[in-house]
Amino acid sequence: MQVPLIDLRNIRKTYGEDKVPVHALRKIDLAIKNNEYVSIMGPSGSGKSTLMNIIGCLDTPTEGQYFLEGEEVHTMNDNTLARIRNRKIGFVFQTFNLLPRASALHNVELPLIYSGLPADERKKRAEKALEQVKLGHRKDHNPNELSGGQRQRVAIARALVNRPSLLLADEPTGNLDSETGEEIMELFDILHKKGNTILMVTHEEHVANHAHRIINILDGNIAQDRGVVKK
Amino acid sequence: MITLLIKLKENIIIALKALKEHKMRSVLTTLGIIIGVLTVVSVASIISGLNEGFKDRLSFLGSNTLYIQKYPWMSHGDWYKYRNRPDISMQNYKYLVEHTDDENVIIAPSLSTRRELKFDGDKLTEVPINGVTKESEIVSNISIAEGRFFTNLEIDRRKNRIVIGNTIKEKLFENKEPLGKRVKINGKPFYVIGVMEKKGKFFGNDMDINVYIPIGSFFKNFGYHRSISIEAQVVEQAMFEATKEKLRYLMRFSRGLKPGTEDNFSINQQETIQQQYDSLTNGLYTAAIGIGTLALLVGGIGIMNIMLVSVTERQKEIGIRKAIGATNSIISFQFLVESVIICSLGGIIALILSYFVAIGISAATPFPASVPLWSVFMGLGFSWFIGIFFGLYPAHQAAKLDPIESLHYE
Repeated sequence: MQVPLIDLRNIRKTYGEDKVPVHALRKIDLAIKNNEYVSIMGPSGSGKSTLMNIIGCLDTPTEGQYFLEGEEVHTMNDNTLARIRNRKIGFVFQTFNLLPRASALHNVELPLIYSGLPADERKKRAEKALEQVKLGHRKDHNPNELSGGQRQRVAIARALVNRPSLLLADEPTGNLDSETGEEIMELFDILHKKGNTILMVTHEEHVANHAHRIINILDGNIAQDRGVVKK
Repeated sequence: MITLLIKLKENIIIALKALKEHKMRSVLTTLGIIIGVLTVVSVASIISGLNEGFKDRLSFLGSNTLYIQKYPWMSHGDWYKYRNRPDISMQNYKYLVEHTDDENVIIAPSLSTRRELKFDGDKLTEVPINGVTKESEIVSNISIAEGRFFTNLEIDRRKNRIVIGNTIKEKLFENKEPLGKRVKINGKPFYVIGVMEKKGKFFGNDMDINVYIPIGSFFKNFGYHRSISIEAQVVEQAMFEATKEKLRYLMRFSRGLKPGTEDNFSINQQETIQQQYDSLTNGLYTAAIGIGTLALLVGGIGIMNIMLVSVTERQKEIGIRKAIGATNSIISFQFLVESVIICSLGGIIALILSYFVAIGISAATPFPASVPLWSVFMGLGFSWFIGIFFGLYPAHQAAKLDPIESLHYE
């Protein structure tokens, strides 16, 4: 049997244990296979961001086990988690989170710097990733010289440049107008067709519908896990 | 290793970029470092200049020469006590010569005064005139460039002959042949028989302005009531202390001093000056290091403060870098490199300034100041140390930031 890409078992996350405990995640069991396209939905405060952070290795669960490609993430220290984020996960954020005073190219190069790639190879791969999101001609511009859609595409290029196992997008269209948002979603569709596994947090139904599977989170529990019937 | 170098290079680029964004802030921050390093390096360069000049002077004095004189070179008050001592006389000198062996110690009397020197209507004032004997050629280390030194006959017969320094030749004779010419001191004629080799300057004093005449001629022309200085060059360095004691004993004996009474003369030597000089320069070093350390400390606290501000300002950036895969140690390394670069910048500015300080001192004073290489390394070393020491805490603060919180920091 194929090992799932993401395998969450009995995941709990509680904040402020000593005072008033807040149960962000109560008991999550979730498996996501390679090349799945999954949306996570839920109202604010439902725990979907916490789940996203745990899957993205930015946070660790209070309880439970998390296997990413068979590796036990829940036992890892800070440094190993940083390496996992670097090699296996590509983040796309709602607010883009680009370094404001660095060129698009440098922003895309950043993950490669942390994996210790030599400069010339780094540059080649970063340029290729920018071309993939159709921004090859704007590689020397700083983020403040780019439109919102272009910024998000730089962020996507940065997320893809280290060929991660998983693309994690947190409200990727939240700061964009609907037309640009739709362009970005089309880009995600293409990336999925090319074989990428995509996990996306959103609260917009039409964005979530781009995925093939939608998971609803409510009060720290998985309320619903369903497939999307494509028209 | 290679990846570490790549990261170091990237971190240096990042740090330089951050510095460029806050030019004014960076320069102000480094002010403490600049002052600290400048103080230490400047004083080091002044002292190294002094040392160089002093070594020359001391070698000119001769490390194995004893100077029997009325006054000690380094005294602590009590000037009257020394003034009331009897003059050192030619009798003392002759007694010492008679009771010592030429093979062990070479003894010469010496006397000096300043007089006007005339030649052919031209004159030089305040020329140091020295009365010497044949032995002075060895003891006072006189080398002749043209002509010759005095013969024993000229010394014994108190002839009015003169050996001149190079400056006298240049100024009074305008570099024309001085040998055989007649110069006048106090209206008395002296025949030039020799010119000395050029010695150069020391502490702004021209060493080539001296002239030498036979000591007998000196007494004859300038008066007999003078205290001379007896210079004794010890041939075997190993016998130095023993010879010094022997001379002391002979001096006391020739003066009929009873046991238990104090010496009524001083035996001076180069070491006395060296000791005094060392204690002076050590004092200067201590003061400079004190001031420098204080300034560096203040500078270091400034660096730490600005780095903490920088960590807060760039919290979002730290969050982004962490999300993308920067480990805690890489983040900490980044801020440490930045702190070291700020400090190095201060160190380099200080070194450039101290170079100009050294030039200024050389031009304005007789001290030949220069920036010694070791002080360059010391200055850079100090600034690196401050950069690392005061950068550690902010770097640690940056490293331990929570990535999720930092990402949402606005």
